[in-house]
Amino acid sequence: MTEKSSAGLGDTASRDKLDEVHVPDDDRAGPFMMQFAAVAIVIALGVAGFYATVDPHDKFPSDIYRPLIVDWTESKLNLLDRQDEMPATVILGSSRAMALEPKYIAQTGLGPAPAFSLAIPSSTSKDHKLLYDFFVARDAAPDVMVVTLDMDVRAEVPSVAQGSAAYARLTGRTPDIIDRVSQVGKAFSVGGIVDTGRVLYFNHVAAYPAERMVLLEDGATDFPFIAERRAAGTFNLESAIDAHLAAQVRPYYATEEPSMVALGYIEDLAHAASANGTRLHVIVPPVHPLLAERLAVEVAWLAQHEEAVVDRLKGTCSSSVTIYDFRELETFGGDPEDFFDGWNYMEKNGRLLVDAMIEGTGSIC
Amino acid sequence: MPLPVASIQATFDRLGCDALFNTSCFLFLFLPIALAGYWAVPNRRWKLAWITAMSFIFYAFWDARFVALLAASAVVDYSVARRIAAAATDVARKRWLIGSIAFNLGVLGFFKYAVFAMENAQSLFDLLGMGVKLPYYNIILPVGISFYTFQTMSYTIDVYRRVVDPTRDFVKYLAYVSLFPQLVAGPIVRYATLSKQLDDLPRRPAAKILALGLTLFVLGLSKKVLIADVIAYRIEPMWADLAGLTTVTAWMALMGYGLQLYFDFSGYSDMAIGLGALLGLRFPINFNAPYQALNPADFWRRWHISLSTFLRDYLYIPLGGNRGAASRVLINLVIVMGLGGLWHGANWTFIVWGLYQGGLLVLYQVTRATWDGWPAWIQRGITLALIYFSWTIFRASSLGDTAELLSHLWSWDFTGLGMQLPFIGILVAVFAFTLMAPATAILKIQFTLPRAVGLAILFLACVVMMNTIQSPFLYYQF
Repeated sequence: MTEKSSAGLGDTASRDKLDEVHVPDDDRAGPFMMQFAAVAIVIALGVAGFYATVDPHDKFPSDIYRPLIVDWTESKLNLLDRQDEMPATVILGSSRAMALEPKYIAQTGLGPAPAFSLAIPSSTSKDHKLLYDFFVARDAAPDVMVVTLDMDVRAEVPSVAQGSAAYARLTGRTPDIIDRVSQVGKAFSVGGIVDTGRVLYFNHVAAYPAERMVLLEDGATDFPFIAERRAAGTFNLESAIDAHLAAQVRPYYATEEPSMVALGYIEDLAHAASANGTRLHVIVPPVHPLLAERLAVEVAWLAQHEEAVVDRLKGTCSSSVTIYDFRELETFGGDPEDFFDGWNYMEKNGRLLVDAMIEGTGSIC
Repeated sequence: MPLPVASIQATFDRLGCDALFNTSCFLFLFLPIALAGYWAVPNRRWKLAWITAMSFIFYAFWDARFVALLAASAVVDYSVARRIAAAATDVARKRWLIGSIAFNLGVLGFFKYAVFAMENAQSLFDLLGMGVKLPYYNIILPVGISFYTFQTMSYTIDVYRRVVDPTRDFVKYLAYVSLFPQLVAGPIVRYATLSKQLDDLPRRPAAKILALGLTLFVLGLSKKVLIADVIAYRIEPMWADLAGLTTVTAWMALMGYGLQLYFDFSGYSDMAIGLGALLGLRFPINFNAPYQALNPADFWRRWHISLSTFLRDYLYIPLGGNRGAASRVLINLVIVMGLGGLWHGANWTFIVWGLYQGGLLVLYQVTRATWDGWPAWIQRGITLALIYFSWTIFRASSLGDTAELLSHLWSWDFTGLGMQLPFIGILVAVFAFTLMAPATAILKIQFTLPRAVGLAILFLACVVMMNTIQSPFLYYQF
């Protein structure tokens, strides 16, 4: 250990002066730490305050700015909280249920008033069950429920509710410190800061991008951007279907065998509905004929798959559960022009679907 | 009743806690509690007990099951060292020492090298057509085992050599072995360095030392989060698809990894030294601007200093060191560096990398008279080229991968050069910084308002980036 040199493996003599860190002889250390803490706290509070005020992801009930990315689950639950009474009719489903109007359902008598739509984009069968359980846990099981069958029967799709800030509320778990800290933590991410800036930009410098849906008081959705683009002559449904197919549809046609997990949730939902006195209507929603035609070419097993899904669903039919197969527009007299992409129909077709259900058309039970 | 290890682990996981410094759990939960408790308790014994308990909790963040292994390792060397001191004869002392080394290397060998050895044995049996099928075990490598095993071994050897007296204070010894600032990735701190400090723990914190610790910690965190992780984010996809590299991306992968490794590991070491200072302890520095080295020997005096001095004192010198014939010295260098390579991980790439480093030291020893006569910039350039080349072996998962990367360096495929220019600019700037900047740990730090503001902004920038990109320390896996 006393050798002066060791051929490169740490020269003892030359390292002595570097063995320890240099401690500054500076009396300002105390104020230095206070200044550090003060600056860090002020900036941190500034960033967090800015984020909470601007609220780009609609996490805090402030409504000062229009959010950039909507947490649909939370927004709809907030809306539900604002209702005078719990709904007697509830609509559940993904974006493919968003054109079903609660008011029209109540007006036509498919379900009693008040009706409320808890349709949430990309929602899965698991989410539907979770949302129904939410009502049951509050002793407010609806009298009637309309549910659409969604994409998770064909692909592994993550639960939307599980990724929502409202998940704790939905499952009856008290939001704990971790939930709150993780929300604040988002303010201190590059994405959180960028989105805050984007919201301010959209509100004060340029308009929001047009492709947005507007949430109405009863949970229904309005699609003003389609009307605007149609009026301006800039909407081309065929292009929209092609773009939709390329960007979003293909990943959902991943599983040749129907997902037993997804169908299992629908079956659980049917059992739970029967047990709690809820009249359940399950819709296999329509696909635009052009998309159907393109998918039939691309997905050789599609027809077989869909028949298997419908066959399985037939097993859930009962006096309180009806299944409707509305895949083809002819079954309910649908309008091929009333779509904004290959999967998502609009108000007119939504009303036609309700009419058909009242008449019992399309039922496979 | 057994400890509810699984539920403890689940709680840590839910809190997002890991045995890492660059997590919100560590910065905003663990560290404030650890420091507040440490400075709040009135006397030395309580401070030692507190920091030991917190260190074990920190280790449990990674995997609570392996806390017992850490404790066992400490208990064995604590007991053996006392036996050595109490032994009546040199033979008995040596027996206890051999027992301790066998235990430590046995544990390290089992967890770190058993699978590697069995895989190689299986390959050999297959090659010879012997038809033997060895069982396969999935053995988890405990984080930091290479570091804390070397620390406990160094203690026992130092007691054997009568460099230090064995301690009767078990809590002090546990604190030495488990101190969270350097538990999982060094620096490897000798007992002699810490013993007196642990005996004389300051009752109240000294502002100067705390401010120094804070500064070093934030600078180290910045090196890790703002430089190493950002580089890693860009180059990891390149290393993952070596066949798809162009000349441009191959050079970026090579240069980027050399910079990532340096900023990652030296950043960790700076944080460890800074955390030590926040506890009133002074750790030795571990890096001293290694990319400014004039030759391979100089490089190893500047890179992972605590490992190179450990290898020197506990392996190289016992093998004969500089004594004996010149050829023997050179062979010793290659053996020591080969084993040093193996210490980094159970893979042939690490062994080859170690032997290559040994070869560089031999090359320098043989050509020293000529080498030292060259202008400094030529010495630095050659050293850098040789060291950066070695990272291709160190990083690759196989020697085939190293060859793949090297083949693309000169493939003259400049596709995508324009798109990569901004990142190339960043790499060049960071590279130039390493050639000029002094080591963080020996900076002459001043406590002025502009520096406090700058440090606070750096800290917040790290928090922002931590919530966006996060990766464990590279030396965590060793």
